[in-house]
Amino acid sequence: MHISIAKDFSDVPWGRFPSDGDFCGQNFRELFLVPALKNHDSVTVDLDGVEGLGSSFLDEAFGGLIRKGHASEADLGAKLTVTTSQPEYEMYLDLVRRYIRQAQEEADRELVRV
Amino acid sequence: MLDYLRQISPALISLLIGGYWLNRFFVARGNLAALIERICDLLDHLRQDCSEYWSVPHTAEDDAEHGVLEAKIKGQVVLINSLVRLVGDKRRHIPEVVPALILDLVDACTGGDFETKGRKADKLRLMRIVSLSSKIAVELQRLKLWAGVWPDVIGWGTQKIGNLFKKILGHGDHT
Repeated sequence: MHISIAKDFSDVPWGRFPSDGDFCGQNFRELFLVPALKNHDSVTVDLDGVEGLGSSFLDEAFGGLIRKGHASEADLGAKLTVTTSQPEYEMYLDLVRRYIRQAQEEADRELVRV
Repeated sequence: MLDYLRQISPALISLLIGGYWLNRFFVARGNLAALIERICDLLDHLRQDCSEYWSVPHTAEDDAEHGVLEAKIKGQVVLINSLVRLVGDKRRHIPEVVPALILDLVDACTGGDFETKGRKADKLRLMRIVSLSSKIAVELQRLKLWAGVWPDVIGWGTQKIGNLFKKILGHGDHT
């Protein structure tokens, strides 16, 4: 399953929550990522063509998958690939990995507390 | 006359080739310095825009103004990252710490409640942005001043010579 943020969602993704706008991280997660991960073994998210990305969008979309209990870091490692052919956007790939890892660490800490 | 020219021609050719490479070296060094200055200017602009953005809370009246700042900040971090990559391509070596600092800077500038309605002022985040952008500027200036070059070369050379002596003395290569 291939998802292009620019073509399938918006070329100007913006904000974290629906109160920030329709093309926010939460909407991308719930409308695109969650169904795709549920129904497909392999999901590729393509960042090409977007007019810049906010870390808040990326954190909500990808880190939110773990915080909301839709997947674990291991699940995402096996199923999810984030790509770009634009060299200047490669830093976003590192950020996505960082947010997934941080969300998993938070989830693990919560588990220990419970 | 011809004999004289024949005698001095190797020296002349050497001089021309040497001059060409020396000129190339100084031009490349000048270009690199200009590029680093441009990145440092952009870091200053980013610091200013982030100060304007993160030092005040979001309000409905400032919505349009904050939207412009958000777009500027996102564009600037992409441009800074691209130019730093260009420095890496030109110099073939930038300190490993720089890409990691840039990632932290992008996270600090556009993370948290960035693009979020009802966002509060975040002075701690602003302090982090100022600190990270200063660290990046210092690392880049170090490249410009050659301070980052010769220690690398000398360090590499010393290590190789040390290893060679260890090999000769039978202590093995510990790289």
